[in-house]
Amino acid sequence: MTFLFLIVMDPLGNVPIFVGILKHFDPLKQRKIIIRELLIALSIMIIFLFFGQGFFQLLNVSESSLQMAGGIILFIIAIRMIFAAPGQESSGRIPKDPLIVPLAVPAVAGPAILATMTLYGGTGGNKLLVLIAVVIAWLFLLPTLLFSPLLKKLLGENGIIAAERLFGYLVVLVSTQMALSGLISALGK
Amino acid sequence: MGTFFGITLTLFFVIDALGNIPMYISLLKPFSKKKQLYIAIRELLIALGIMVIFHYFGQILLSLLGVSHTTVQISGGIILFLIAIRLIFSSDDERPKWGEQKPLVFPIATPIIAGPSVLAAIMIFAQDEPSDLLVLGAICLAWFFSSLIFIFARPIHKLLKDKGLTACQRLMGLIVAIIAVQLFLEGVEGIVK
Repeated sequence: MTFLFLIVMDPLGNVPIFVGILKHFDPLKQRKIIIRELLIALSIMIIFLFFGQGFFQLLNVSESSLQMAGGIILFIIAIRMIFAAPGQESSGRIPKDPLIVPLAVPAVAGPAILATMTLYGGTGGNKLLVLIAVVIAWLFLLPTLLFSPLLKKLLGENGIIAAERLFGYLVVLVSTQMALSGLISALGK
Repeated sequence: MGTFFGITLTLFFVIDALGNIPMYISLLKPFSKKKQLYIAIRELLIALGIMVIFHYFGQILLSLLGVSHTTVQISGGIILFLIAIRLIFSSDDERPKWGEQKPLVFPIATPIIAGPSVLAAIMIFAQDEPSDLLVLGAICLAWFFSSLIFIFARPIHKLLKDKGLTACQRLMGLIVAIIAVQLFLEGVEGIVK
């Protein structure tokens, strides 16, 4: 279960998102933001574990629409990654501190992980077991993302743009998968 | 999707050797004729190496992400379509300025030749086609034709000028868009069945 959560949290796919958004900050600030965002994400996930199902029942949202919405949002993020013109972002604009959105939610605690957790922690599921699995998966995620600013040094400015675009194509893949499985499960009902 | 030649042609278009000629020429301007040829061949070989490595690396990456075959086709179609749009609508001021630097690996081998678009396309074909050799062969053949264009960059540039090259690039972008839609439809068919 831990492994499943780790895959759904997608540390590999999150590295470019983190690098891209945090590229304007100095390394010390980056580390602080990463740790803060991850803690927020963890608490959101834990809250969701206990209240998620009730919340979605309240809104009358099915799991498949959750998946489809997540896929579409991720797809738009991917398009932005692919078509970001170099020099457009880096000059002039004052970098905003990404509090909660978009790193804690939806990059780490995104629709996919929340849906998966709601599924496992739902009726008849052992909430404590899910909680342990989530925490362990989160502990694996932490070093991966802390390491992400180093990528920037390794690749340089233009290298980051190229890598960002490549990862953008990867995110297209993940988001399509997400939206499609949502669509298929919606049609299957 | 498609045959050996289909993949070869797509990769060749995506590498976009013709569209990259002006940038390539301006990067190599400071060197003597002999040195230019030496650099070109060295960078081309490095680019080939990167593409072949990514052919295998991409497969590992995709299996880690756990995407199904139909998803690869559908999102492959979407990705190729996005690449095509970049080819058709790219303007000169959108291209990154590389500045003065010694061109070793960066920026000619990657990202001008083996850029993100090319690597993404290779990844899709590697996952979509069961035969490894077929994709590898297509990579080599597409690389070979692109190499010829890079080595004869100067005469081609004289012949077509900047405008002609842009026109060629757009035309190739249109063809890639058509291939992309085809791939997408194949994926949709796979799901509907």
